[in-house]
Amino acid sequence: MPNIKLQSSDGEVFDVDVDVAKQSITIKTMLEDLGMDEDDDEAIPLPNVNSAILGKVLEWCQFHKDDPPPPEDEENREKRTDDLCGFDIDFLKVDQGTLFELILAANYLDIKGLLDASCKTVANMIKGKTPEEIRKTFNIKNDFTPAEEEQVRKENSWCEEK
Amino acid sequence: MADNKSCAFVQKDQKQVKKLPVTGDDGSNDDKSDRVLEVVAIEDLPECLLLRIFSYLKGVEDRCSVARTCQDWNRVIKDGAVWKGFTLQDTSSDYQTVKHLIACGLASSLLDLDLLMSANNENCVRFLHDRKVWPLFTKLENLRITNIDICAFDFELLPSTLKSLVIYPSKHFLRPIPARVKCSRQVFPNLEYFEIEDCEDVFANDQIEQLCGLEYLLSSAKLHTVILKLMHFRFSHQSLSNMSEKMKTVKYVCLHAHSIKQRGFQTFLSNLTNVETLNLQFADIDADMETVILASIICLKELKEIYLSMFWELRSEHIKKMVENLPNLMFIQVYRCRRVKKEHLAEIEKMRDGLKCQFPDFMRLSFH
Repeated sequence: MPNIKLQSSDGEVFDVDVDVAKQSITIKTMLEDLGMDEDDDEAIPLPNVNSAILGKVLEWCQFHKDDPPPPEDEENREKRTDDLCGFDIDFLKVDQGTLFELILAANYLDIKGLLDASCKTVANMIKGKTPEEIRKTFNIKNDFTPAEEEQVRKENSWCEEK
Repeated sequence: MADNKSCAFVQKDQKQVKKLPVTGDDGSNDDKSDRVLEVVAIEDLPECLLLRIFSYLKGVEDRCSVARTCQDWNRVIKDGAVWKGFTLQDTSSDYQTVKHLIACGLASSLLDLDLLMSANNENCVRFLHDRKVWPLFTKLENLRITNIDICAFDFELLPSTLKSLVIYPSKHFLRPIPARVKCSRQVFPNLEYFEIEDCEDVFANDQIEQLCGLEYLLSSAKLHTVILKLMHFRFSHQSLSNMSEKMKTVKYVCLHAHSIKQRGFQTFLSNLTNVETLNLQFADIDADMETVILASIICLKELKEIYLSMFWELRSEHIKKMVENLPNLMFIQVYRCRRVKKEHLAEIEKMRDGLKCQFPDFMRLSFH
């Protein structure tokens, strides 16, 4: 199996099986379009991903290397969030900072499966929560003015009366 | 639009690289001294990724909560991309979820609404007929209402943005003859899909009504599909003529009715010049009328698919004529024809088996 070298933003070089790395469409395109040679000794620089995250991303790719390619059709994308496989659930049991970094990396590297799984995990963290609970979970500041909040309450009561 | 690729560029330009790995990494950085241990927060995600996350929220309550979390999320959740493929289904007797959606200011984002109307619920009726309600749904494309009183509900209230309208009239509401849809001007210029369906089984003591006024709902130059499954109704010549005049662009037509008259049917067909799929079923027509229908279908030269249900006079000659006269014909389905005479049935099956070599799966028969 041919390997390629990937270099993280902080300079660490990862030696990876080509098929594992090619789950990233960004890397796949680089290899194909830019004619980068597979047994080239030069590492592909990935300036947007640090070594900790790249390591995790590659761990994910390694596990999923035999998955069928995801469907192209964005419109009819599966909107279920309870279909994550056991590996993904455990894999994404990480602190929020890591989770968001994985999302950014999956997006930059264009790895649809990882992007979906990580976004679904965040969606599951939102589900069933009140606005106040969501703010607490993600440490978001409530920047609505009291007047704006009152507006929603008023609208709500308008509906109640109807 | 949450396009993945364009998103990557946004992210590249605006975000990233400001944070460095957490402790314990053995990378050989020379700038270790000024390492900032900045943790990425949800605010650091570009908008297209928030859109992606929000689009996974299937519960409308969750979307309402997001809208009320902070200004930024309130703006993002309203983006059309989040609402694509999302249907708000409200089957509660007081439309609590729809009301909550309105209160959170999200009515103007909704594309797809499915309402079950509890037949006797005053609140329900008052809400649907409230003139302040429908103008809030400024982008609504698909609407489905079950158990609606088509003679009392004012269709002119509905947003003109509708692309698809599906109504299941309640039997409970059927009025004395003739039943008239409450609409008297052309309201849906964007409508592509129209479906109306009553409960199918006709009982002996059911009143059979005429239905008028449907043509006002059909007046769109974009109309593609019209499904009229009204087994409790017969159509007058006038109403069939009015309707079919609005159906010249239509490619898919389904007409199920209690009964129909020859002149009305022929006028109807003569207007359907672009129809590619035709689906017919009538509960109560005589053998002569059946024969007329089976013979006149061949005037629709664009036909590709024919579905015939409850045609008991069907003969192999009819099918032969269709095959010979319709150059684009690809498929015929005959179903619920349990009263077709044995000898005719055998001939039709023989014909199907003969045709099979030319067009695989050209004809499907089920006579139960």
